[in-house]
Amino acid sequence: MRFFFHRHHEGEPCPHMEGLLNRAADGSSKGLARWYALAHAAHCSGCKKFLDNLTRMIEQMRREKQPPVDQGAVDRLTALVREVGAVESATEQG
Amino acid sequence: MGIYRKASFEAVAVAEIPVLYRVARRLTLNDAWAEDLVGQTLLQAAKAWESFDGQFPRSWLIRILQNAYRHDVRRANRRPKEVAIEDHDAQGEDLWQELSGRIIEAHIYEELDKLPEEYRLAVSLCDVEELSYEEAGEAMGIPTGTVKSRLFRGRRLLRQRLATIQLGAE
Repeated sequence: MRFFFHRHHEGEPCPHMEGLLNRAADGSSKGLARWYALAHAAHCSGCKKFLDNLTRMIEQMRREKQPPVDQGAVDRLTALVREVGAVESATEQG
Repeated sequence: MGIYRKASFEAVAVAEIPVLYRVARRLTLNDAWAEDLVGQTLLQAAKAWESFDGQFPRSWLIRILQNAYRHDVRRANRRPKEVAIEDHDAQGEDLWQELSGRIIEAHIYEELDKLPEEYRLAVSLCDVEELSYEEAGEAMGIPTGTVKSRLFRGRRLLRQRLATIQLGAE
């Protein structure tokens, strides 16, 4: 098991782990793939740092959803959708 | 059926306006252009709604938006200013060090906007808008494997940019 979870790469993730760690960080991996990524990171400092930082970065982007949406623009675009719907309904009714 | 589909289009389109606006803003890096692009998208989507199969409406709308953006770029020969990104992989620097929360919070979106378009869009769709790889692939018109490679590369570039800022701040 120790051989399996080697501990090289103090400063960066193991190259072969990057995809698995990315999928673990964004929550898209399940089952064995997720278990393997987390188990490897628990024993490899470079991969652990990578996973922690990436998870934090993704969580922040999901939480904040920048840029803020201009409410004036949303109102104008909503009005546009309603107008198009109204025109199409009128056209259909003859 | 027609009336049902139209009512449904309104509901779907109105609910997706904030997402479309954010994606448009991330592509164009410009508020007025983004609003114009979303307007074009909604008009085209309304026309095409009857022939839409109903699967992944968000992806479908984003794909229309992306096509409208490309059309705008070609027609007016305008493109948001992107900053050349250097890949630091070969430089041997420790760019994977612990990033401080402060650095990430202050610069994450600023640096995201500087990524090349293909990476910026992949990160924006999957990490900001929370689309699955499959939905993002539908939206960008590319296979799921390509979504993953663009996303992972985009994240790597973003982390490198943030780490560089942190090294400069220390």
